[in-house]
Amino acid sequence: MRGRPETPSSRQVPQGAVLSSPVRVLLAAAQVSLALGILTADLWLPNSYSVANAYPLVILIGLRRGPRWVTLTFVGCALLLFAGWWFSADPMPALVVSVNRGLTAGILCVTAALVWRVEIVRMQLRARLADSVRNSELLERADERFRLALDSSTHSMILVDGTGRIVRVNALAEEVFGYAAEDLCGCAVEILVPERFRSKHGELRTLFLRAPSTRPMAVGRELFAVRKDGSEFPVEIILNLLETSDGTLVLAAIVDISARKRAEEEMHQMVEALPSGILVVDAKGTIVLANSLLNGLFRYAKDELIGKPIETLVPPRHVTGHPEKVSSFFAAPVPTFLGAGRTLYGMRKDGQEFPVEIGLNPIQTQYGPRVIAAVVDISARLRTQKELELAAEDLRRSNEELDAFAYIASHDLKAPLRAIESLSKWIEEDAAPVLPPKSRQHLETLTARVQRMRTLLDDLLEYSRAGRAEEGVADIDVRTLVQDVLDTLGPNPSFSVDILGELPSVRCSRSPLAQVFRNLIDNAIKHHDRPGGRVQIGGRPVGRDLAEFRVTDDGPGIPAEFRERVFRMFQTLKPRDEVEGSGMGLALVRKVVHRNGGTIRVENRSSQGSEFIFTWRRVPAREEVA
Amino acid sequence: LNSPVSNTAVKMVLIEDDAVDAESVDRALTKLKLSTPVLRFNDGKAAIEGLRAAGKDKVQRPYLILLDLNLPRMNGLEFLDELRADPLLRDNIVFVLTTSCDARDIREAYARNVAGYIVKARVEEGLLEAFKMLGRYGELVEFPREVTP
Repeated sequence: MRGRPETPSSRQVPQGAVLSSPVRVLLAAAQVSLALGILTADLWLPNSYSVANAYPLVILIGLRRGPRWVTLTFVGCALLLFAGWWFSADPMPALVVSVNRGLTAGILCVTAALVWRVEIVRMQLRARLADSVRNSELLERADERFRLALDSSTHSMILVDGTGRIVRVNALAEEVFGYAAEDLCGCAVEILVPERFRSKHGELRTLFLRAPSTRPMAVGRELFAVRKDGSEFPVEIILNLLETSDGTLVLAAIVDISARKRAEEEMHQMVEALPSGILVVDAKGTIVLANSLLNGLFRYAKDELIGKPIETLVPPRHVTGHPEKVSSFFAAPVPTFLGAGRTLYGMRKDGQEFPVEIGLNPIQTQYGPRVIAAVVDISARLRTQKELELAAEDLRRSNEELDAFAYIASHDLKAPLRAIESLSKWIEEDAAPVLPPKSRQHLETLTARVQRMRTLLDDLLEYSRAGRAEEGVADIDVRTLVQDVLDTLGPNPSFSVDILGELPSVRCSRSPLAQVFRNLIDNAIKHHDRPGGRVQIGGRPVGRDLAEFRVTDDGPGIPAEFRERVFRMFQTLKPRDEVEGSGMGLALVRKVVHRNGGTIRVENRSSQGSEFIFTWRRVPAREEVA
Repeated sequence: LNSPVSNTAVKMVLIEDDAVDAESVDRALTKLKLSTPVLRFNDGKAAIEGLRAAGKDKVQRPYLILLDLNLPRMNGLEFLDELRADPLLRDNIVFVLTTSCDARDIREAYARNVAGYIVKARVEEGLLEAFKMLGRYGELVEFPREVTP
């Protein structure tokens, strides 16, 4: 706030008495001594001297002491006049004395009346003077307050008279426009209007005076003001009409809105840069802003949508009731997501529809409540979703076909195999006497191949079914499980299978894990390079969720280049005539382990043999969440 | 008057589409020196029609049905449904004789009240054992008879 400090009032309001008390006492003493002197002379001197005529002097001395004092001295003097007459020893004839005294009393009365009147008038004058002084002071204060009020305003204030002359400006206006107050006062207000608007401004000013109202000027249009140096800036102006004794004045409050404009501009840029279509809609459902992405989405040109109702973008069949939805949104504005559970459609300029998702967010702006709508075109997503669904359906169907195939492989392919086996056996039985040894041998090979084919089919079936166990989960003691597996494998005295230490317990279906151990142990024995050997089984928990098991043998080991290949289907490292096997065992193991969420790898032990290491979930994946 | 009748006349109704499998049944019976007559149908539909036939074509009781599951036209399970729905045939004793050891097949067959589910063994000895059992079964077990009017 700018302003001169208020000077303490130096002038006291004038009182009834002008004289200081010592002077008053002195004067009173002078009056009393004069009156007593006159009385003495009156008593001593003969009446013919008419000393008593000096009494009015006493009254005159009391001038400027107020009418009451005049009355008092008059009464005193009259008494003394009478006393002088009464006690006088003058033997003048009574008539003469009486006339003389009467004249004197008359003079005294007239004098007193005159002085009294003078005093009254003087007092009135003094009071009027005091009033006018006080008034001018009040006026000055009011003016000071007005100045302070103007200066303390955060707006530039300009007071203009009816003819458009600047009467007054506040300090901020001086600063903002770059003029001194003295330069502005008396000038036409158009000095602050950019040149190109000046002529128009005069007309508008006249119009305003004819139909005045307190309102922002030129709502919806952009106003500019010009500084002393010629630079322009955007403003907002509020006009106030002041009726004063000097005529109509207009007080204009001017706000520099450059910063706000800049902020708005930045906001626009941000909205432009957003990666989705952005709409701003007012409470009437009119579009007030649309970014270029949105315009692109709906195929409109820049600013083409501004001022249009939001229903422009809604397909005709959804327009009914839409304005009501807009109203109800503004009645209770909360952030809302539209399009969950159903597909919404937007309509392009050419009438084409496309699926959208819309997020609504209410905002408060200087212009009132608005809603920001973020519109996302979800055609691509819906398309992808559809493709995924189709792919999933395909996958499900092909899985079913695979199941059916596995069944056919187990039954329909095995049936002819059985027939071949039976027939060859019957030939062997029925034609035994006539069969040459070579044919007998061929029949044996035929049976062996049939057997191999059957194993392949069985293992293939088992592989396709792996992990689809229908049995429920249970807490499994792995040591018992391995023991059971060893029992089903049958005794093989030349091989020792040892379980080393404690095996971690797991919770799962029993048969997949048994299958893994059975195949790994079977594999270790079958592919051993010597007729006897050792298989060791160990395990340890890995973290909270996994258990790790190892099946270690002292066989030939697996060369590094084959360590991946052994897990593939139908892969064997030796001719099938040497080691019967479908090549499915390890593929099956890997599939089961993977299905359970584990991994498997094979390593060579430093000395000899190989070690299969696999991990196994300790708790089924489905139960983990619970 | 219902005097107990010997089961020596128990026939086997074999429902089997594979000629080799049918022959292996014959061979097994021959090897076991059983003279049980075998009446063969190629599929479920032929069998149900044959069993429903009247007059001189009528299959006389008592008989034991040996049923394969995987059959053309009407498979074994469908045949069982049809059989159990027929008031005249529903009481028949059926053994499933199949190559399928699918758990679902076994469950479904027993759900239709079969007397036993026999998986055809790979080797002939297994089949012989099965027929030894079936022969004894036919001798020991009372079969449902024709209702004499």
